[in-house]
Amino acid sequence: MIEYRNVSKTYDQGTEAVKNANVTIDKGEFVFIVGKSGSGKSTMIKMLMKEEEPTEGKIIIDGFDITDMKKSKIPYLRRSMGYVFQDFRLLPDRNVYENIAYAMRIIEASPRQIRRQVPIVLSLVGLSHKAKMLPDQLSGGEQQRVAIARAIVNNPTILLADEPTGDLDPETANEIMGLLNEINMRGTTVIIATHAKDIVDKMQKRVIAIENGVIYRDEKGGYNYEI
Amino acid sequence: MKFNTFIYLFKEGCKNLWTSRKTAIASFVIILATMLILGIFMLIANNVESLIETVEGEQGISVFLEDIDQQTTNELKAKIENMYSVSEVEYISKEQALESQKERLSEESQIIFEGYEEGENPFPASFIVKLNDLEQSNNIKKQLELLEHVEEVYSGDDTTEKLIMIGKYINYGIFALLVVLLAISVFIISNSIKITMYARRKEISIMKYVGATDGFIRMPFIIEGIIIGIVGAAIATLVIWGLYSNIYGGMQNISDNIISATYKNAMVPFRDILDNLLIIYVALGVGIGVIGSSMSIKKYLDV
Repeated sequence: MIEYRNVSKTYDQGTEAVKNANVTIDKGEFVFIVGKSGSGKSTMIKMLMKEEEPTEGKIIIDGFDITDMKKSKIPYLRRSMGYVFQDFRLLPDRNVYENIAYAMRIIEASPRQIRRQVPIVLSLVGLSHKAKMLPDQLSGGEQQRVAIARAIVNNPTILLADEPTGDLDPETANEIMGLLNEINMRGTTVIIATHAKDIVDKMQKRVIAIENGVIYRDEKGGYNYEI
Repeated sequence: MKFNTFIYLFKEGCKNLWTSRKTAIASFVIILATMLILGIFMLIANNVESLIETVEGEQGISVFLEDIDQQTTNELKAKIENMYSVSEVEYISKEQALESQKERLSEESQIIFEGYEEGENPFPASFIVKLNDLEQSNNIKKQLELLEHVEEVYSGDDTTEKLIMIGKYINYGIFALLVVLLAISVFIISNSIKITMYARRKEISIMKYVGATDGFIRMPFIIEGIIIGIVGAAIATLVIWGLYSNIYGGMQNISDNIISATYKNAMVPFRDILDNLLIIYVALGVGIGVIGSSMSIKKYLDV
């Protein structure tokens, strides 16, 4: 379970990205955080992975307050989550297989575990035949699939995605969302920051809408950004 | 860290090395130059030291005595033998002194010794005092001069003293050189790794997002540094070996005269230096590699 408790974030330049957010996300939920560019939705995600620190309030994950976590512990926190970014963030000099294996190597998985697990997630994202290719030989959608495979290879309990379909055409975007939904069905909590209205409307999941740092709606349904 | 992980990171280090081979070669050249300069100075220092020992062995301090009886002579000898760092005391009687002077001169000059044999030997009896530690030479000389029945103390010429001075300055020089060269090498290595890391900062941030620890990200860079250091050490050893063997061989072929014989005997064979040289080189290579790469990495790890 993830809990934002009175969380505010003000950046150094004075921008108030998040104002007094109170959100609880249960295990296994599928949640969209929606809003325009600069609304604060990315900051909500970044604070979960400790790329940004809240200025006020606490963030609690599975009963553990991550707000005052030591810097040296951050890698271990990040290992319990998977991330998917708009720009994929794959290692350019490594092939698909190695990109996914890297996430396992850092947790010191044995070569046997790696040999077993990587093909499983590769086939899950439908890229078994492209394991030897480098990221720049793949289409955007394929690269994002690799990123998703990397994000789930260690079976994280939480999957975070920041505009995962931002750089993709609508059809590919739908496929990626389908994949994330599938992962959610397997029990992983999925949190997606996005402004892709069509997709949000179509999926009919819980939507947390944020505008100028303020959460003004939190319910199941569509994007509803007119409000 | 598990063995498999280490193997993986080692391979990554080798890959890094290949990817950044241009900057790696620059670092390598600097390390090699550092080690060569250092190696040459070490060889000089070793040889000067050996030369000092040889000269010391050949010379010794002459202690000329007043005319004293056998018992007093023995007592004096025992006293000198008990002095710190004295290794050997040889007694040379008046007769022996005369003989050895005779031997030194040619047949024609023997005439000047005529008549001396009949109890009018002008040469004093003496001790030749040899030392373990030549640096004590001055000290011992002073002590000897203070002894009763000692007429004069004479230590050949001041070659040994000069050699000791030179030896000392060479050692200071080597130390200063070591510090300067180390600083330069570390600086250059750390800079070249900084360049590599800057080029790869995006990758490093990705690794951090995936949950890699700083140590995990850092290790391949450190391994890269260590490999450069060790290869530098190996090649420096070979170059120094080749160079020195040539000089050594050349020296052994020079025809004998008094001066060259001393230098020849004093010259240290390479295998006697090899162990020390290797230890210093490898320690240096690894040290420069580790320090140089560790210093530069921190900045890009803060994600």
